[in-house]
This record gives sequence, C-alpha cells and structure tokens, in this order.
Amino acid sequence: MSCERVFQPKLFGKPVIVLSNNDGNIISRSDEAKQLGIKMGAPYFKIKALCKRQHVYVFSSNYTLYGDMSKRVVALIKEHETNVEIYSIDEVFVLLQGITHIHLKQYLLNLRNTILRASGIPVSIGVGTTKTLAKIASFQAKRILKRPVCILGQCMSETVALNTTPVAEIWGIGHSWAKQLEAINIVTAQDLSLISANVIRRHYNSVLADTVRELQGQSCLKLEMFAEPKKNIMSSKSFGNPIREYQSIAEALSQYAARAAEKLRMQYSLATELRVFLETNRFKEGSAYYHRSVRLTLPIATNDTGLIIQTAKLGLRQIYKPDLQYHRTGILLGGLLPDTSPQQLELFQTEIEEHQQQKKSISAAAKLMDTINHRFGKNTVFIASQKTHAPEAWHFRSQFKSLCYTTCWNDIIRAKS
Amino acid sequence: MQPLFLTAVQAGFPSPADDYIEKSLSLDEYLVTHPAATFFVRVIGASMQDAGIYEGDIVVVNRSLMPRNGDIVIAVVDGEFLIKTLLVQEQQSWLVPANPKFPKICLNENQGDFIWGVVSGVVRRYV
Repeated sequence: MSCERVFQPKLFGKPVIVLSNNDGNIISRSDEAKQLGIKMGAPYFKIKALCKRQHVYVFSSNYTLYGDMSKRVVALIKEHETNVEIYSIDEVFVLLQGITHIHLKQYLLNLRNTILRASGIPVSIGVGTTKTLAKIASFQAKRILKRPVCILGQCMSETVALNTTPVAEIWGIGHSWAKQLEAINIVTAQDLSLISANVIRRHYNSVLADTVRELQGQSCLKLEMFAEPKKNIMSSKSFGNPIREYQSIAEALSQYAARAAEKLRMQYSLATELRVFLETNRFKEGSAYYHRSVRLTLPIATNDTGLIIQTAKLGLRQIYKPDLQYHRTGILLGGLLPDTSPQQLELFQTEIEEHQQQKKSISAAAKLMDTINHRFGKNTVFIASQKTHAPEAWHFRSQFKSLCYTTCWNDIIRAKS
Repeated sequence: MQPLFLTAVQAGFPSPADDYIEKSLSLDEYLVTHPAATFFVRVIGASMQDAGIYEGDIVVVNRSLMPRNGDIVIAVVDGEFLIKTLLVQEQQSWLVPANPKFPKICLNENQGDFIWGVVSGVVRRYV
C-alpha cells in the first residue's frame, strides 16, 4: 500500500487496499481502511460493496513495483548496516552492532527518516535481543504504540511487550498452535515465555521450543545472509535442535516452502520443478550421515504457495525415514519461467494457516469438478483457461493493477511544468 | 562494450602508460549518483522551457537530496505532481515556473503539499 502512495500522492489520507494475486484477499490496507473495519486477509468479494460505498481505493498487487521498491529500501539500509538478512519482500532482519544504548533510538529514527525521504516508504523498526523478540517489538511499534521505532528495554519494558502480545502474533506461531496454547491458558507471549523450553519440546516440538527460548532471550535463530542464485530459489534452515517427528519437519518445510514461493513471486517467476532435501547432522559423532533429496515436477508452472507446499510435502514423504534425528530440511525451486508465460498462473488463491477454510472449499470444488466431469463427460466443467478462444483468458484477474512506475518507461509518473 | 583508450595510440609504439583499459562511458553512472533514491519523471507542459526543460523530457529525480532555494524540484500540490523551481522565503515556500508568464504556486505544507524530490538532471532523445 505504501508503494502505491509514493506514486499516487492523492491516496494520502484515503482508505486504500491491495488485493492478492487473482484479486482474492486483502494483503495490505491503509490506516483509513483499517478504521472502516476492513480486515487483513478478508476476501475481496465480501467487502466489495463496502469499498464502493466508502470510496475505498482498490489495487491489485503489483509485485513488479513492490519488488523494485523493496530493493531500494534494502539498498538504503545497507548503506548504513552490513549484517542484513532479507526475510521477505517487506521485512528485513539487521544485526545491530557497535551502537551505544543511548544513541540507538536516535540512530534508528534517523535511519527511518533517511529511508522515507529517499524512497518514500515508511518503515517500522522493532529491536530485541533475539529475532523473535525483535518481531514482537515490531508488532508493538506498528500496532500498539503506533510509532516508527520500538526498542525493547528502552521504549517499553520487555515484560510489558510480552504481556500485550497475543500468542497468535508471535513469529512462528500459526493459527493451530495459537488455538492449542490458548486452550491451556497460554494467551500472551509472556505466558509462553514462562514455560520451560524443555517442557514445550516434550509436549509439542523443538521448533516451538526454539521460539520459547528466543522469547526468553536466548538466540537460536542466527542471521542468514546468503543470496540465492537467480536460477533457483532456495529456502532452508538448520534446526536448532534435531527433530525426529515427521509432522514437525513437514511444518517447518511448509514454512520454508511458503517463503520460497514468496521470493518466487517477488522476482516474478514461476517454478516448474522443486527439490526437497532432508539430512541428519553431518558432523555428529557416532551416527551415520543420512542425506536424501528428491526432485518433483510441479503439475503446472506456478508461484502458488498452496500448490508448492502440497508438492513439497509429497517429496518429504518419499525421503523421510522414521527414527532419525534430522538436522536440516529445505526446498529448492527450479525450472524458473517468467510469470508472463502463457500458462495457468495460479489456480486459486491460498494463504497457509489463516485460510484453511478456503483451502478446504477449494479442494472440495476440485473434487466436485471431477465428479461432474466423471458423470456427464470430460470437460463439462473446466478451469477457465484450459479451453479458451479469448486470448486474455489465461491472464489472472488483476483489474486494479497500478503502473510499473520504476521499471517501465511508459509508466513513469508525469509532472506538470 | 568498446574499450576506451586514454590517449591515441601512435603507430607501432604504444606508450606503456596506455597498457590498461578504462571501462566505457555510462550515462547511467553520469546521471544517477544514488540509484536507490533515483526516479525518472516525464515532463508535460511548457512553463520550464526557459530553464531548458521541455515537454517530453525525462528528468532525473534524486529523493535523497535536501531541497534548497533555487533547486528545480518535483512537488506534490493538491495531490498532483508539478515540476518547478523552488523559492524558499521566510514565511512561505513557492513553486516558480521558469517563464514569468505562468503563475507561481504556493506550497501549502499544512494542506499536505510537499517536495517529492530534487531534479538532478534532464534527458532528451531526438531520434
């Protein structure tokens, strides 16, 4: 949303929303849109009438533009800091070193202003002693304090921050875990931080245990700064502690797959194949090193998170062996094509965790389609792009896309002299 | 890419000082000193012709420069992009066209007007 405002300043002070691929759900909203009650992730068709009534500006996501602006913001940060990890199109982790406490806030405010001045993008900064705590600080800055910078231990005490952060907002804790924790009265981040990490490990898994350790100030997740080659997109991570259970590995893999899919969209590519790998600790004494990977072809060229996760899990099933202590898993997307290739670009809009409901109804729709086709003959019902005479039928719906102001000469802004 | 030699090579006896090759001239390097903060804007209208900026030109805008009195700037007034010369006075800032026949415009910061960026160069293609 901020990107749109840079090039269309008339949007300042107005309710603005940005829709996901295929104009499905809300992926970004201005404060004014929030005030109208428009929720993040809400399906567009549900609020279409509201948008019309309240003169909400609606945009289809323009990843070309957002990707370019993201590159600029990262470049601006790198002019001041060296230890920078690009986490997603709009999030970055920075390891701050060599700044004294009393200067930290001013330094970050200056940095924020520099970025705003140079790129037009307002950023929110959260500081903590671990990545998970930094994300909590960021949540506090954006949603609670509504200020650009929040340093835990300075702008607010860590305890207060943890007390006012619901478990669902903790990085790495999705819908289902949040529900489970709330059911046993662990409602805030503070509640969770008071549990022993070992107890969590026994009752849940070590990924959640790492999160708890991070909340307690013990850094388990180091900064990852490796740039992937453009021909492939890799997303992987070593586990803080070895994991044995299939389910935990599958969950971790899903997260990496989602991130990889996001990076894929960020460079406007589609993947036609993926590779899943799984390994035990190479250097552990006394145990053989188990290392497997499997390559799978994706059913269609895609950048769809749901499909990539599904396929990745199929691969994991093939290479997982029970009773081993795994150290690392990951996904590599390959066979990349530009996303303007004439293929079905995205079957359906899916977001993991938050939209399980939607996923269920989508697979139900697919099953229904199969049933109908089986009953009444092949291709009675088909996905729009499969059979078409209209040349634009394979474009996915993005009726409200803004221009490529920074990558296309024809689209640059005009100024009246 | 054609290498550019420092001095003309004399027939048969190139100077040892010419042993290294410089890289080609790049307009991008010349015009864009801060890529992360640089944007291109198309000019429409004629009020800045006297400053050498014509309709259809592309101006190079560096958002990281602090706007000063006398700079040519891209400003946002009433939600619209303008290209004018900035005139900073004690009470008030103005956006002034190069041609006095055109009106000068008041920059109302409390009404949401602001300077979007400083024009650091202009580009024109004839062919």
